[in-house]
Amino acid sequence: MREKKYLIYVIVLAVLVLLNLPPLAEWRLKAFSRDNLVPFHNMVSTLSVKWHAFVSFIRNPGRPAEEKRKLIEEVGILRERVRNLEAAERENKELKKQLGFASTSKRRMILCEVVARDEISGWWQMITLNKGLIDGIEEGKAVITLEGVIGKTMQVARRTSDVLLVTDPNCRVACKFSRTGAFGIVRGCGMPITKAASLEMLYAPSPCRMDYISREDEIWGHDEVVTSGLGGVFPEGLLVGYVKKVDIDPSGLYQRADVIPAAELGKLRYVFVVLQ
Amino acid sequence: MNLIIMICFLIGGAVIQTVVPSSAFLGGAKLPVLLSFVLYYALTRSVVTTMIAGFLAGFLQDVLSQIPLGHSVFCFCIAGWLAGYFRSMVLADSIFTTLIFGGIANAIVTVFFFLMLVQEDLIKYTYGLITLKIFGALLLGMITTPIIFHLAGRVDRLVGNVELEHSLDDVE
Repeated sequence: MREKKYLIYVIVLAVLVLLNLPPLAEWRLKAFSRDNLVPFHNMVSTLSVKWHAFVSFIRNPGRPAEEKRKLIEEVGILRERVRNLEAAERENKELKKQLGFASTSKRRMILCEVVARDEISGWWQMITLNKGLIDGIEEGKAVITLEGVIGKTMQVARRTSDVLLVTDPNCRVACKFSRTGAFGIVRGCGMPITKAASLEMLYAPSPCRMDYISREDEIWGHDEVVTSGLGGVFPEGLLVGYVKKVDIDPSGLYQRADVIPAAELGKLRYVFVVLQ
Repeated sequence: MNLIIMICFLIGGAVIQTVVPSSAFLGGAKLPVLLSFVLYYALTRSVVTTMIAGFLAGFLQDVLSQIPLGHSVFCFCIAGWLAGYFRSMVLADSIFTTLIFGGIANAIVTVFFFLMLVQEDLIKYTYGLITLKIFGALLLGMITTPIIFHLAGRVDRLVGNVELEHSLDDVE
């Protein structure tokens, strides 16, 4: 019995130590534990993907063959486009050279796989990626998909990175409308994005909102919202989403707009981290 | 054996809690699988076992989330200790007890987390959203805890953890 009571004191002491750890030691302990959980995360992620593929195959056995045919067709079209673009790029470079323009640097991006969707505590809208510090990812980098911006990197361990999604209230993105050039700040409204399409039949939560839009600017529904490049995290011109609804904010000084993210946040599998 | 089973329960619970998506209707509240395991140990085992379960479950949640280290550990240990304190007054193996304990414990832990995280300026929640989340936590706690009790009890009996049968005699 004495040994058992001794154990309680040890646990209480351990809790106190954890609560009072210096930030650096805390982060090292977290990063170490997360890195060791990566194989486990990967296994669960792979199983989940295989299961979805299996269910999809059972529901529609002819679909993979049809998808393959479509993909082959699409690859052919894209190859043709690439050839045309290469020719245009060569011509562009030649013209720039003749005019004495400095060449614009391309964005350096790294492809990552999503190993965990949703965060365990439910307080943040996050995903976890399978790459981290050793792959060159740092905190505060933009994360995008082919459709548009999805968020920015938060805590980066050696082999994993946490991404704060644009739907989280803590995520703020400096944006502008591509049609008018009017500026504003997009913030998340804290509602998780689920795959269930039926959700919107009963209640349509607003995933993001754009604030501080000047009252003089005329904003329309379906207007395209892109990053302005002013915040320092997101490069200019990345697609964020489309306007769903516009109204005047309670202060009456600005307009605000509900924004639907362009990227499908509920179906993320591969994403790009913009390194430069 | 008891500790190995507990670790398996908690790691599996952490995976389920992470993988199962949250719902917008419930304010993004997650299935409280880890807390349910702590309550399971609180109502069927000794204080020491409960504290170990609380510590491990909290540590897993802290490590896999943005919550500062130690906050979940503290909350889960207190929740487990309180549930264990009240277990002599209730029928620990009744589904009604697990339902009530699960719902109330999860709602209280959610409020506690909210206060701690807001105080440290780590989250920005509107009052409407936090009310929805607390309601979601109450509901999910009431659903998850009886299921976890049933499953964990069956696994414990399957692997021969006989402490379960004698646990109520071990009240300190």
